[in-house]
Amino acid sequence: MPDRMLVGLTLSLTAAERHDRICDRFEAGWKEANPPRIEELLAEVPESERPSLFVALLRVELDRRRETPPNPEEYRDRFPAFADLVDTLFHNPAELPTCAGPVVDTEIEPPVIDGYEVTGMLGRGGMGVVFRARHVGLDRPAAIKMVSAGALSRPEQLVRFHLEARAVAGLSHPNVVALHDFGQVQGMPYFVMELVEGGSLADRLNGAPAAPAWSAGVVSQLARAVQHVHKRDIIHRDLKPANILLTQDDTPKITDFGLAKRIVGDDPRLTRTRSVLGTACYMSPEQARGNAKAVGPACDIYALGGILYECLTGRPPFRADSYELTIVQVLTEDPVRPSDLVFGLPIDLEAICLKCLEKDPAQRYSTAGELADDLDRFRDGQPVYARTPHVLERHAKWARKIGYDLGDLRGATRWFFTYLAHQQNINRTVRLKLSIGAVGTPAHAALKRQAEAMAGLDHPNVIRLYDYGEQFGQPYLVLEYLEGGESLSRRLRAQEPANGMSAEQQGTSGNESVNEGANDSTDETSHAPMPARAAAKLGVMLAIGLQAIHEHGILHCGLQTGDVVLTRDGTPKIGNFAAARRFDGVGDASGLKPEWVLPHYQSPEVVDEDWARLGKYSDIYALGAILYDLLAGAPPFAAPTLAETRDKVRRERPPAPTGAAPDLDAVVLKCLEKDPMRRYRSAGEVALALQLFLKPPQPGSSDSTSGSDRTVVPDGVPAPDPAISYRLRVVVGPARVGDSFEIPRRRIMMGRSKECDVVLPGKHVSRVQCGVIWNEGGWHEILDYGARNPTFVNAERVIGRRQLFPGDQIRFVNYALLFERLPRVAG
Amino acid sequence: MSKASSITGWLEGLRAGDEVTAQRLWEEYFHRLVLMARARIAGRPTGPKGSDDVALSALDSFCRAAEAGRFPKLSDRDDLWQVLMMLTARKAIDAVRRESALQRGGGQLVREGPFFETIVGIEPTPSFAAEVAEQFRLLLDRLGDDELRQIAMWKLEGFTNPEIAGKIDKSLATVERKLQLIRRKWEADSADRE
Repeated sequence: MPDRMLVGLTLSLTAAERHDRICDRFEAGWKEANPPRIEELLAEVPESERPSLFVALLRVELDRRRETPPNPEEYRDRFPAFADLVDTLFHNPAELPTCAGPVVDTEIEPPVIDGYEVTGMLGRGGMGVVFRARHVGLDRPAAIKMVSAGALSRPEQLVRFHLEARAVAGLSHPNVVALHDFGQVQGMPYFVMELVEGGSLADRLNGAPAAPAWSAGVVSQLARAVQHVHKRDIIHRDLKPANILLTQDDTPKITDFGLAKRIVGDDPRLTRTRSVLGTACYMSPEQARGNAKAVGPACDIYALGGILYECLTGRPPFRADSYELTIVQVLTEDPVRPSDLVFGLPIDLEAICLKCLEKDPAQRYSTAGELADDLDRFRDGQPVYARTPHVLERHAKWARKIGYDLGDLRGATRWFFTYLAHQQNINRTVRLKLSIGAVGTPAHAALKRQAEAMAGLDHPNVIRLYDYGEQFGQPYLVLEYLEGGESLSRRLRAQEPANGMSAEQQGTSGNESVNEGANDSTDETSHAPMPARAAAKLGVMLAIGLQAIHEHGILHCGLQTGDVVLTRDGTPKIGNFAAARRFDGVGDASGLKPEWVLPHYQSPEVVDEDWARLGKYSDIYALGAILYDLLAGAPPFAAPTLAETRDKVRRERPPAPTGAAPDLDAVVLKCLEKDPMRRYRSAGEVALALQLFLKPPQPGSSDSTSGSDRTVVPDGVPAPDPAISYRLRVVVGPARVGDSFEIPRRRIMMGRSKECDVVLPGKHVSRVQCGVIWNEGGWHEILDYGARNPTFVNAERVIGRRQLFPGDQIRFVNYALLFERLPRVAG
Repeated sequence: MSKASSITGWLEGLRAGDEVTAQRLWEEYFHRLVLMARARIAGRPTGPKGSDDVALSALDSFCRAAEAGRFPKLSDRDDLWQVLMMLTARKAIDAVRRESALQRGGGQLVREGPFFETIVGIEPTPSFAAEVAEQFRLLLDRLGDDELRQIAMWKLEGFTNPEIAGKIDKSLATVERKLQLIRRKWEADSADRE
């Protein structure tokens, strides 16, 4: 179908006036029943103007002949050069306003399809007719697309029709018109699609610019949809405003996959056809050149840029008087800058648009997802990637002023840029995280919150914060850099985790790279499962790190595999506190940007953005989801779209991750309970439960009286050295794992659940109620408070019993976790 | 500014299917705007006339049409009011731009923004109405052809395309072509100015 933009609007004003006068003469002739012939009038104008004059004249003639409608064949024969235009004018109601109401086509009878009632005609394209219909049983409106009889005679069209159905059938995206059904009726193929009622984007724009913010929103949604399409190895190849339908609430939906192509494996003959493959105005240079081999996903990104251009300016990037001239422009000219056409356009949005329209595909966004991200950055008021060359230079210059040499950009999210940097004065490599936006912007606030969360957090399983500052108006974080480290998500997907911690032996696995932000692709979520014991060992260390974070008064709120760095020796370290918040900040929705985190690893309360319900159990859920991912080879829930994934997180129960290790499965599934109250109440409990899996209690051993060094030592942490004296560590309040205290002989009141003072040397005196029970024989059971509580069992099992002698100093390497909940127990 | 309190708001309402509300708001706005514009032209000290008279009588008939309940349809693809108001708004923006450029020594422009929204409130301001009147006068002037001028005024009065076709006894195709020509002339004029 010829593009309407090409017709009529392509003339200069003087030419339009000339045509108007010719048409007036033509109409005056009709009144006198002696109209000049169209052929003669056409001869009066230059060749290039003839198509548009032809359309204008034919419309007058058809209006005048309304009483006795002529046959399109007659005109096709008379004007073979304009056969397409004749078709359009005769059949497209939009082009023939005289046909009010539903048009019943003379060529195509409304199809009789079981279960559907055809109620009218929606439109007509080059190869098909679309009817409005209703599914009788479901009382659901639908659109039915049929091949027109003319198209049936061209086998290539028929093949296209089938290809379209096949292409769309594999797609499921809120911004792609859905295919409900496909079949044949009386030998004619049809498909039933979702009915989208709001008209096309072309109708909406109607040659006028739309608001920049609205445009960015629409094209961002489209780009996400195109990303989805590309992931399924399909290129649309004919994206343009006329192929974007809008729902009543303005959701854009891509339709008309009639030219779609599988990235590999299509019949090459179909892709080489010259017949207007893609509309010239939105066609990428590589398509215009007719080089089918060079046409890849980048052509859709180009077309998205064309759509954005038209949204912003009301006209396509290139538009000449003829198809051929337009092609020449597409190949040779730079588009007019949108801001030259419409006053006041945001420069960033223009930069995004022009980046899509680069002649060289390599200069465009490399994926539609990147385009969407950049548009979203624009919508957030953040600088966009399309203009980052300037940003990078500025950052490098700035960093030199404060003593850092800026290295590679390791991550760019909507709010932060993370670089490798070399700190000149002490010759160390760090990660430098800069907010996009100066002091006082939301990005700065977020960066500062992150710094506050990490300040003073010093744990072997947590990435360390070295510094935070605001220099020359630029806020920054300096973070620990792990030479040879790698994010857990990358490690999982990059290699076969054959024997779990084998990464220890692979010290040369490159430099650390953390996937900050939700850049993990949802389509690349599966990988080889990790052996159960290796996963559990990793889980213990993660749980201990998480415990330390919680003891620090912080919720991580966004834990995912991309946020965990594995050091060269395989020790996990939790990083990226972008979404973190203090316990006392729970309920405040300002900190967490849900789009930063993948819903795959998040609890129902995080997915629902129910900030008031956040708690440690939310992080414990995420910990469980990571464990699940390690064990099962994929996170508990994954669907093609984030929205669907969220939905699954809310409703579905995951199957057991391994099936082979029921004890371990039970631990993971308990973390993943929908009801937070049914999950473990502290990460420490998870660590203990994992320990139990790794080293089940052996009967008898817990009653050992062999000395003060009898502790159950978890795998993966150094065993206590019998040569040094041990101290019993009770972690209270701000004390951390690793703190120790001497059993205060006089101050512990021995007895059942008595109140006692626990002294932490160098810290403070806390008044706690703890379950230190004294037995006749001098045995101490160190229990969690409250014997009815399941932790009691764990505590008894793990800690066991031991005889304590006055002055004994016992060191529990990891079990300090147990005591974490003590301070909260009410008196 | 509430959602419904701007042209953009109405257009959004229209898109959201809230056609009735959008149309009603537009009618209310339209009536006031036309009254104000008319007062503005009528109140001018006498000057070189002709076009003023045409504009005044046109605004008169817009008022009468509105009072008779005939309003331009907001959903009309060919609606000239939208063009007229867009052009006026753009002009007002230009003025703002020149002013701020002068103030800041010809420096940068202000950030983007929905100017249309900020300029066109639910209550037409007297200065905007005056601009509309002035713009309207200029645009009519520039059509340079009585038939085009007549079609433009009917269109602005809220007549439908088939009604106009009946009035001039020409085909609907011709009316649509002429409306397109009017639009292009107006837009070309505004482009020349810029």
